[in-house]
Amino acid sequence: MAEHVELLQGTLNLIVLRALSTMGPQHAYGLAVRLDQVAEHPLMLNQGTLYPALVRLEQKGWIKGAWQRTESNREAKYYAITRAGTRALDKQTERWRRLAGLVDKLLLDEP
Amino acid sequence: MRRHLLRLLNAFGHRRAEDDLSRELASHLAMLEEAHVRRGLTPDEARLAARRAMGSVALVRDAHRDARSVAWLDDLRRDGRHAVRRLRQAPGFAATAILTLGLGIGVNSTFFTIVNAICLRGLPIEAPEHVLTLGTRDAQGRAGGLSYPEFEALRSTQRSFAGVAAYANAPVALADEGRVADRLMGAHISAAGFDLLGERPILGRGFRPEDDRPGAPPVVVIGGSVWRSRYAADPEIIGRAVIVNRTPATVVGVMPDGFRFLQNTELWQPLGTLAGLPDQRRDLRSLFVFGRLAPDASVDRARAELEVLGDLWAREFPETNRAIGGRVVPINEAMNGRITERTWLAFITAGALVLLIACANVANLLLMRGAVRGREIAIRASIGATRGRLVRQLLIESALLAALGAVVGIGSSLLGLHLLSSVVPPEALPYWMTLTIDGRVLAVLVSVSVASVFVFGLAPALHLLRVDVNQVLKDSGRPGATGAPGSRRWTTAFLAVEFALTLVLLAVVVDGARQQSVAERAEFPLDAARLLSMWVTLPGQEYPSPESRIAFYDAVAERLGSVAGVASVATSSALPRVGAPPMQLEIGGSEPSVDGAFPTVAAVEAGEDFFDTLAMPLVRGRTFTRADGSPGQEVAIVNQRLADMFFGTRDPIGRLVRVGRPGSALSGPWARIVGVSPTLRQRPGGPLPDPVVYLPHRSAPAATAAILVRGTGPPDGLARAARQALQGLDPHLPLYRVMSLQRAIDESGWNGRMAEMLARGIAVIALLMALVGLYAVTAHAVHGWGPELGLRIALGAQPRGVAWIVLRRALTQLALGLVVGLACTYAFDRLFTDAAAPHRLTDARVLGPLAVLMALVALAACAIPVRRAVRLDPVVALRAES
Repeated sequence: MAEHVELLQGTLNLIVLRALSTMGPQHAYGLAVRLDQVAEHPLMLNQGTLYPALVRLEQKGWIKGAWQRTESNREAKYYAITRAGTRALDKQTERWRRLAGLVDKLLLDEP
Repeated sequence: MRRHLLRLLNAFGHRRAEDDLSRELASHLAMLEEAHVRRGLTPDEARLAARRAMGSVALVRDAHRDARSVAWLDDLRRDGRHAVRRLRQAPGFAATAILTLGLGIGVNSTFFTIVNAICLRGLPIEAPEHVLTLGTRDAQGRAGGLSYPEFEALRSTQRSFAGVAAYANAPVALADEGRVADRLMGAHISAAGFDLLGERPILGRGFRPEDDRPGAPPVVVIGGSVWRSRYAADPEIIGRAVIVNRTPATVVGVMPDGFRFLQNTELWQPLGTLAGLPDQRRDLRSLFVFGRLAPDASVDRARAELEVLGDLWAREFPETNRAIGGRVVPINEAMNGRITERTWLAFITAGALVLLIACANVANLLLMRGAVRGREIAIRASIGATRGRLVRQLLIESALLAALGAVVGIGSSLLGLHLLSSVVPPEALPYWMTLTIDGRVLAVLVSVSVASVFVFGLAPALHLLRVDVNQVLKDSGRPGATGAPGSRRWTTAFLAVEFALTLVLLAVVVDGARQQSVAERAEFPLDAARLLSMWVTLPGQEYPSPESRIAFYDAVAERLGSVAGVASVATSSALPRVGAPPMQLEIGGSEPSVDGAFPTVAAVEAGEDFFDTLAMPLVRGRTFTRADGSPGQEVAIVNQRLADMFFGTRDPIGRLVRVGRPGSALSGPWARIVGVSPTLRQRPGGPLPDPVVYLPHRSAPAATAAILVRGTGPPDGLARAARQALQGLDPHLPLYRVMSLQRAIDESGWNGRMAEMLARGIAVIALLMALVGLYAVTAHAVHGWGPELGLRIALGAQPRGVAWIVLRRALTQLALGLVVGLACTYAFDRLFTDAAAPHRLTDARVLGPLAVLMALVALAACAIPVRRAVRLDPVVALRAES
């Protein structure tokens, strides 16, 4: 029985940005598939929860959506990371790494 | 930041975003389906799997909307549209509620407009809080102005003010070549005055210091309305020569239309030209002094400085300034009514009360509707609407009612103010006290409307939510019938109060009308509409002696008498029914009362044709002749009321009387009564006409006199001829207040007429509110009784019986209200009617018909609910029960 992992809003933003940064423009389904692929443990995220995150990222100007055609000639809305998004991604990644490092250190320091 | 703006914008453009999302979701789901089919599922299984993977689409939409726009605005918009739809489904309820609220808000606004105009708005000058009036206070605490020497000393030594100016009222006669002379409200003002007030002329200039010296060439500044009406907005007005109080002067400026500082002034002259100014005594404190604070000064500093000056003057001029203190008051505080006074507090309270009653009525209406909607609410609650959401929805409906009610309120308020303004004569109120709706009134209106939403909307909404959902769904439509007995008691009490108030108000109004008609019947039926009245003031310099004045009045009477269409002309010191100075009356052979004062009567000096012009034949004796009034021939005529009051059944003819000012000893010659006239009152108000003594005009011809003209046709046609006749006699002498006598009487009694109009309006509104209140409560009861009544009808009850059940309750409430009302009327009568009035408020002849009227109104209110009850289909009603 897999668990639903409640992801914090901020981390979902980060994950989406990262995915778009490495994969290039993707539609919502593609992003969901990618998330499932990369996580070793299936996140079992409701695919619908991506949508509010996508809206927020678009409003912040970090991604931009455009309607295009897939390989199977189906129409889908593709999201691409913007330059501002890339900058934000770097900054957030840095912050996350620092936080993770700190937590690691605290945990390791236990005798 | 950018995101917030986008969210706000998205609140308004949601449809596109929703469509876009639908497209995206459809495409996403399709791709998910494809993937599942590729994995080997059948198309149907694939579709189900796809939906499961996506999660609830509805929740996705919700989350999307919450993220992309401002959620509450969205909800608000949807609730708003829903509310509009609901109201359109119940037009009767909506109309009643909106009209009720509209009346409540309208009355509130009207009253507040009046209070605003008189107490709050203030003069339309720049930064009025920095303009202060400077005056004096004597040892007895009486307020006064400054004298000229004091003003001059103040002006040269003061430091707290950027400038000070003095002002003095003086009516002026304005004359031109070939034009009839006009009498205007005039004033003398210091040269610095206009600048201090921050007002600039629209043509020409104000006064300069060199105009303000005694002996300077006379100049005047006229008001915009005079420029337009008298000079037809002549662009060449500047530099024009006019004659002001018989002296040539030049017009140097025209002030804007709305500026009439201070007492509706229309013509200004420099202070320096005020006659006798340099020689004015130090203790003649008649100048109104004001000043604008210097930028770095405060009111306290100004006050302190004036106090120091006062002390200095007390030492330097002990005979005139010893006990005189300074008085510094901001100009609006000095000129406006005080809002803490009883009258204005009463106004505000009354307005609030009417609004509260309106809100209570609408709350009752909502409760009734709530009973009808219980089912709908229960269903909503059962599919997941939160309590907060439901309350918000109901509040939005209430807010919509309040908004529409506010619109109706503004409309009715404007109408009411228009009617009230038509009663107020043009010069009765200071120029800044206009009954108009300004920003402050609108702000109060809006906040009152918003507050009313909570007053009338919250209680029904909360009540509705206390409903047990399961119970209601089972019962399908009857949430607790007519409500707990406790709430029914409140409703009955409330209705009783409404009826009681209505009864008291109606009684007051009807009694007032009755008093008026009784008073009119006790008096001579004067045909005031056919008489022309006018006033003239003879300047002392040109008419110094009584003989010169008598000669003038005789000449005027002769001239006017020869005008075509004039039947009779007379002069007098006062107009009938408009008032006259009170005088002491000493009757030959009588003693003064304990405190040394004689009884008070009205005294009028009348010319020989006075009674003839009024078409009022004497009851006994003779009227005045030309010989009356000269020494040795002192006579008097009294009216019937005076005769009844002081002579009873005895004949007053031949008795001696004399009159004198109140507060001083009576001296002077005795007059013999030679005639008795029908009773005609002088004082406008009061239940009974006052006693009047008429003395011959010739014995003491005053400088100011009224002229009455009776013509064969309507009086307005004579006005022009009268002015021209007078112009032939003295071209610089203006006639003023030329109007029919009826209009003069109406204008002088405008206070009373306005109060009467207000009282009648309130009484009618109270009656309407009571009607609505009873209707709402009865309809609510009928709805609650549905199954019970259905059972009775099914068992064979006649329509009459059913109607009686409904009516019985309503009439009980009415009866209770009438009883309380009777008690209140009695108490009101005790408190407010003076003992001398000929009849009481609680007279059966007044209350009887009123009770019948209210019973009829109550029946009308119940008409619809009774009809509904009688028409009830017992099958439907009974099915609802099971």
